[in-house]
Amino acid sequence: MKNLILLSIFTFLAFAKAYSQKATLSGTISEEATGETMLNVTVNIIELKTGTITNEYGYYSITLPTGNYTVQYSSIGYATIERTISLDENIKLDLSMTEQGEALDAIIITTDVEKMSTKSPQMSVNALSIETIKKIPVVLGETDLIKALTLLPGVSNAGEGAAGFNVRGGAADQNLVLLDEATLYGSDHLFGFFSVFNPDAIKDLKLYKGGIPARYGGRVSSVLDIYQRDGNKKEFSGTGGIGIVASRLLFEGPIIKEKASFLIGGRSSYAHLFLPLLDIDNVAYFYDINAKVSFNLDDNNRLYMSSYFGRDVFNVNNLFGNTFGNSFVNVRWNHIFNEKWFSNASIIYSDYNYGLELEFVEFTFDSGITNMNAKYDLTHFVNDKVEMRYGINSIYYEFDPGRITPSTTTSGINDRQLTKKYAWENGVYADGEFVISDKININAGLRISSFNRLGQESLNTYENDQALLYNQDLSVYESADAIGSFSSSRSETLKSFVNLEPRFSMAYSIDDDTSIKASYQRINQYIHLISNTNAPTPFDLYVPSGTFIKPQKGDQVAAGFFKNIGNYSIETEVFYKTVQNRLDYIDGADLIANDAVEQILLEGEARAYGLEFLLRKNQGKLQGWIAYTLSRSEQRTPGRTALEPGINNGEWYSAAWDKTHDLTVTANYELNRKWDLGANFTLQTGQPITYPNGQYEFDGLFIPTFEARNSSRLPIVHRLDFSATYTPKPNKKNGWQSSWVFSLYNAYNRRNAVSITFGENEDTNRNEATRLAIFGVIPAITYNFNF
Amino acid sequence: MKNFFIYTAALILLSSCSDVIELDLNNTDSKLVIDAVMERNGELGVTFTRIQLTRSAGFYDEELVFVNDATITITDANGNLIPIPFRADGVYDSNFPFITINDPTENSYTLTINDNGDLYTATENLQLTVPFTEVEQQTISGLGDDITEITAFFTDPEGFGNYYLFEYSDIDNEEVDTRDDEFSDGNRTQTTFFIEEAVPGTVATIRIKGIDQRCFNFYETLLQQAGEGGGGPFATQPAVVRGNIINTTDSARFPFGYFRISEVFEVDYTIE
Repeated sequence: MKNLILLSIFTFLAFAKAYSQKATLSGTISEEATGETMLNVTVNIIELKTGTITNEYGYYSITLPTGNYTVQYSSIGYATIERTISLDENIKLDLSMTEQGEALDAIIITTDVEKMSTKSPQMSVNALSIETIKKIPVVLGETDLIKALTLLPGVSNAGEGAAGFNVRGGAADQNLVLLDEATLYGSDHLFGFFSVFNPDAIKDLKLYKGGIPARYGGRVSSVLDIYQRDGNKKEFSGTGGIGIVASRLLFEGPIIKEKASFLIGGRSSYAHLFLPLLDIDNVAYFYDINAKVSFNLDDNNRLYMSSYFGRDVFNVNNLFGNTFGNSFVNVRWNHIFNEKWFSNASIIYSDYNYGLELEFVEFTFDSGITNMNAKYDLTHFVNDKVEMRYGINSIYYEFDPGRITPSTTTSGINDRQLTKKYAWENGVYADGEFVISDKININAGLRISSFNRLGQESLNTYENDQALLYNQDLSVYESADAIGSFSSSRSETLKSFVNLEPRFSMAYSIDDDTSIKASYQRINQYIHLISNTNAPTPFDLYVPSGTFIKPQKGDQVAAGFFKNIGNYSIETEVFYKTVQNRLDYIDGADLIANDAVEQILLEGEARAYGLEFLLRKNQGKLQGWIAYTLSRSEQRTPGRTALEPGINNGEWYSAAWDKTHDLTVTANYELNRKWDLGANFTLQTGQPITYPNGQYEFDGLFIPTFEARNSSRLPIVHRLDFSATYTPKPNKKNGWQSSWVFSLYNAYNRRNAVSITFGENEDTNRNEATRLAIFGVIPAITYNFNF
Repeated sequence: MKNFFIYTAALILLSSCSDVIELDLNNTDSKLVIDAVMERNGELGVTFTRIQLTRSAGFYDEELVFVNDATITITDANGNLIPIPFRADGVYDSNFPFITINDPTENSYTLTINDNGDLYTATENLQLTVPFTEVEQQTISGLGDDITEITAFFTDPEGFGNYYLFEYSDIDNEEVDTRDDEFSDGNRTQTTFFIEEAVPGTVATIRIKGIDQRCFNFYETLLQQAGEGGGGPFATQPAVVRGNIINTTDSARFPFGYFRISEVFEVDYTIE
């Protein structure tokens, strides 16, 4: 009898366990003061030592066995919220978080905040909050997101005044820059002195240097994913700043209180207005406008419309005029099907164009790239151990290499439209994050990408399909003449590519604060920036892959060690990446207004490898980091046959942005409530440069001859910057609040060489090497306000 | 406040600077530099052939090394070898009327240079061109000292792929430029020179010379290398500029320079 009872009890318990219920806790987290949704808020289930984070739209969902739990919501700078719940059935819990120091019953628990990141399989990410970025001292006092990212390991650029940025030795066109999911083609204003991002409009930014999840594709080296703020849903407010070179102003507020909001901001530089005072008839300025409208249609539906318009304008004495910039409009719809399914649909139109007017030759030139993009992304919160993402992304491109038009009736230029090119890029992905065990989390995904080069007018044909020939006798590459051309309609496909892109990353937790991670990614890039200068210029254009150009294929493996110790965190990673089909150019290639780039291209390969180290102090009055990167980035273009030399005799040469050592120390010290001090020290190996090894005279010209490409270095670069932020009334939270930022760039006035040019002095006729440095010591003052 | 902005703007502009530095540079083996032209004056119909031979040197070497002991001949289409005698300072020239009026572009000419046992050769044909129609002058101010803009106009023949080499010379300045007709085919078009400190009253000579596509590519690459050099975001890549002359004795010791045969028109312009 006793055995029977025991058997019944065990059977009952067994069944009870088999049929034990699960329920889902989900919701949206927003900011109390503005109604702004919050990303990356940690949602921690204390009893189970598990949790999740809110997504880009502030939404979270976690499925647990039924029971009573203490749930902790935390985010840096905000008061942590704790809730006790009885999870017997699905619960929807939306919360508002208040900024730290404001909440009345704030519970500040700092120890748990960082733990999720060591457990997460995501590695190789540089993340910075806008608050941190605004405190970093920069040249001319203008906050710059891209410059701030270069202070973290693995990110650099090709020197002061160089546009673009380089991630883990990758080229500047290998970064996918997304603003509210729309692709931007240029990330700089005024040749790299300013970025296109208005910091007041930005909510969050993340740079993926490796371990790129399957939902991203199309660029081999990195993804810079930036989200704009939605706009204050509670009350009308504004932010702005006045600087010595540029100013900005942003307004936001509710359209329907608590339900709909708008945000509109603009920036403009005005230094050019003072040039006439110095008797200089030139103009160089930029402006940009960010606008956004968001609607909470109901509990499960949100609609967003964002747009951006930015332009750079140059005019030198009315001889040379140049305008260029990005713009986009996008519409997004978040839809929550139920507590386990979240979706986002986006439709985006984006455009990059540049226009040139050369008055002394009497023509105007307009070219650009336009795309229409439709995306659909689904997240399936399966349970507390599995989160799946699926999605599809489709982009239709139009590449306009340019239209050249005479600007006067007497001009000698013929009106001509260079052949437009069309393409269609698609990606479909499935991605899963799995908690395998207490210690192991993995993220595994597959993206299938395809690219169709569509029909166009006048596609050149060549004998034997060879657009570039090698003249054996003269040892030079020569462009082949087209033997004909044919036109096809846009509904035909000239060439298509389909590729599998596996992505994998894994985290192994040694303990709660320590983990090792590893990742692998394969990414294909179908569009290429045609540029043979060291850094991109606004005159560079993208071309699509096709008959003559193969897609770039990139592989990266990375491994890292992560540890949190009290207020500090350590991240160290090693990486190795290779890129096939990297384009290179024959000597003397003329890329501007070139309608047949296949005649000057050679295919090469690139590789980069390195070690990154980051020691960060995240809490306390003194915060900051020490970042060190040791790396090498190189390229090789062998000849197509054994008889051809290729570029640089087919030997590996350093990429133009290769920096062996890159050390940055950034510190921020909260002196008191009114004063905040910042400092920044950078020490880097100089850029590669090619030294001459001789010279000769020809036709009155002085011609240097050169050593192997990029085999020498410019001198070491180092610089110290300071900033001090003064908030006169730190307790004031309503009405007009202001602060002053005093910055000193290059405090000890080091002349860091940006280039060395070799030539003959006009006056003395001596041969000399001239070193150019751009910025000496530059003080700046910015007045920031909000209301 | 206004003063503050002027001061800051000036500070930023002055804050960038260039200075001359001494570098420890390697020297590569010296090569022969051949500047060989056969030019037929389009108006007068006379042919003048001039070859200057020098040697390439180390970057900081000031002395121009002339080659005064080479043997130069030009072979015409009928196989006749015409010697080009030495003049002075590495220059060899001749007034021999190579180019005849009948079929001027049909015949090719071969240049042969014997430099201490190394044989260099190149074969080329005459490239025709068109004369200038007028010259205009303008002044550009606002970039520091005034710059004089001299523009010479001509009419590009329609249909042919035309390439041009231009030369400007006055007492103080020597400038070279090239262009093609890709965007200006068949039109009245121009070349523009920007001259600093042009002296009014002095005479400038502007020449237009016909070249082919290979010579155009050569000059494009050459002009990129001259006066630019290494480093900086806008620099293009350094390159070894290969011409159309080969060393038949040892292909590794190739020469620098070019052998060009052009029809030339010139115009003299008095600077206002």
